[in-house]
Amino acid sequence: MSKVQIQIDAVRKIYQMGSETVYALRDISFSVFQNEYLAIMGPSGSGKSTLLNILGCLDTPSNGRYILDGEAVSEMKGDALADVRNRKIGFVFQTFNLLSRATALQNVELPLIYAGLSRRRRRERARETLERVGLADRMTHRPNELSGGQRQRVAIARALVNDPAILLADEPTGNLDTRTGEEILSTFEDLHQQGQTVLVVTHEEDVARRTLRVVRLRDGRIESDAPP
Amino acid sequence: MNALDLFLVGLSQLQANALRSLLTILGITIGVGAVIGVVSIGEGLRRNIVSQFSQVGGANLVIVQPPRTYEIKDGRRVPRSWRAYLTVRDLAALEGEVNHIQAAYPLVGWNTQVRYQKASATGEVQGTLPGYHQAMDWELDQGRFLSNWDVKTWRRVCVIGDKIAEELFGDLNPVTREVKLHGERYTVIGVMKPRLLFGRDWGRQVVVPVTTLQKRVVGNDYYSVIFVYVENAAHVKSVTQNIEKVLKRLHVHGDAFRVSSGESVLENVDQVTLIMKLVAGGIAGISLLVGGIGIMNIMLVSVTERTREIGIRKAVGAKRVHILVQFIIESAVLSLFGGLIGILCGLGFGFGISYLIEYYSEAEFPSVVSWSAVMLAVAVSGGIGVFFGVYPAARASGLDPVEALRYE
Repeated sequence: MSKVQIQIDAVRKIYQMGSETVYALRDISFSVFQNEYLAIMGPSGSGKSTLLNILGCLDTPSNGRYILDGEAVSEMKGDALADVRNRKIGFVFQTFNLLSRATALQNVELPLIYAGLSRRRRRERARETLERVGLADRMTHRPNELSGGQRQRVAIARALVNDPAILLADEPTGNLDTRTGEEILSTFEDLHQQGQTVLVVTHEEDVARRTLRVVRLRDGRIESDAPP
Repeated sequence: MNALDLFLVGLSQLQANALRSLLTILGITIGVGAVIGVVSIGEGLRRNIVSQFSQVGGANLVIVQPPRTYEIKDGRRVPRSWRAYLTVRDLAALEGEVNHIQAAYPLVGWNTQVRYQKASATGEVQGTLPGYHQAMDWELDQGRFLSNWDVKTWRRVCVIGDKIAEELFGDLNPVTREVKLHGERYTVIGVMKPRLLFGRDWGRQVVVPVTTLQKRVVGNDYYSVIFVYVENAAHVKSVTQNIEKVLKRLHVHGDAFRVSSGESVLENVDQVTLIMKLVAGGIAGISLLVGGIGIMNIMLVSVTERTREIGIRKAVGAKRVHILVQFIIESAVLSLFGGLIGILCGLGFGFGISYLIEYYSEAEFPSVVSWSAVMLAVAVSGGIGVFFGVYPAARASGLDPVEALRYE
């Protein structure tokens, strides 16, 4: 078996809402191996957004360990986490989250800017990645000149451009019609074929069925972890 | 992420909110414009005076004048109870006792009608000595200037300016013709070329030997002024002091005589321009402060509006410093832009004013671009942008990425 990409040990997340303590995650443990394609499912309030934020290094656990691609990110804060996000994580959001005034190319370049690449190398890499998602002819278009599916593919290109350890997608088809959603899912499948580790957070069974492993959450605990 | 990228991001932000940006930077524009305008006019004034002074001897010239006939008491002008005059005796004493004097030219002024046949013109009669025209850099057009013999024998000769020559003689050559001055005949021995200085036309002058004017017309030996040319500009100070010393010894009210050099006149001008600059600086200071607060306000609005953008940038790996620098640069670009427009407005204002002055006074009045002031304005407006951008930028960079991404 290939190497462990994500290892989570007894991760707990507690929020203080006024006088009430909310347990968003209650001692969750699981591992993801390289080149896995898995879905995280659960009803709202199950803690899947919290888990996504922690996996994406946007947030830190209150307790427990998180090792991403050999780095103990649960010990990190602020800029160190930003660095990890930059090098190891590619985000795909439900609402695309593209910079509206920037062209497709500029949007894809964004992570490389923060990685400190030269202008020329940035251009090159962004171009290649956009070609990879089939948008070679849309590079100078701004998001409002692109269809929903094209926007999401720009977002996927942005997520891939830094060659991340994991691709994290948060309801990637939530804002798309069925046919376009289908296209995006097949793009994920292609990427998985090429060796990319893909993690999709969703509440749609249709989406989960396309993956190879489904982790179901309920009330901050893992309910099941099995193939679909 | 290099500086150019950051600058371009800042610029694109300005474009995106063009009207808002323009209104925001108005304070900076007004402040910078006021300073640049006033400085360029002040420098122009100074340059104008310096250049005119250099035409009449400049730094080497010391002007000696008798005391004013009035004094200021309780803020009102009242006539003096005494009078004191510059006389032949003073001139002799200065020439004899003060070292480093190259030449001294006394002047007696007297306005009267000058007639030739039926033509008549108002002339500014000036009694002086030979060489005066050279010292004043005033060129002869025809004939000759006064000679020592003319002065010694109180001859009734005169050298006339171009305007008088034209009004009395038209196309005739005035030299050797006789004009009537104060009822007496004077022979024209020369005509001067046109001259304009400090906005005054010298063309109406009728130059006669100083002795002729004193003995034959005025009936005293007073001088209106003595122009003293010092050998070397380095001696101006000592010569000025020595002249004052001599005058004090010769006159009861010797210290009331006015001895001024080009330098001391320039000091006065500098004082006036300094006051102008301080006033403009005050306006600028207030306006820059208000402008800076406006920029801070608009940057805070911008940070709120772009919370999501900040979230996206952080999600893909922007560190605190990246966001901080991005917003500070944006604020600096905004403010710099205001400063640049202000510089253009200020220069335009300066040129406009100098054009008006030249138009109405026919005197040369350049508007001078002071590069040091321009550089300062650029630095100050950039600095204000940075200073007032720090707080909004710190707010932006401190945003929590999860919260920022969730922001609608």
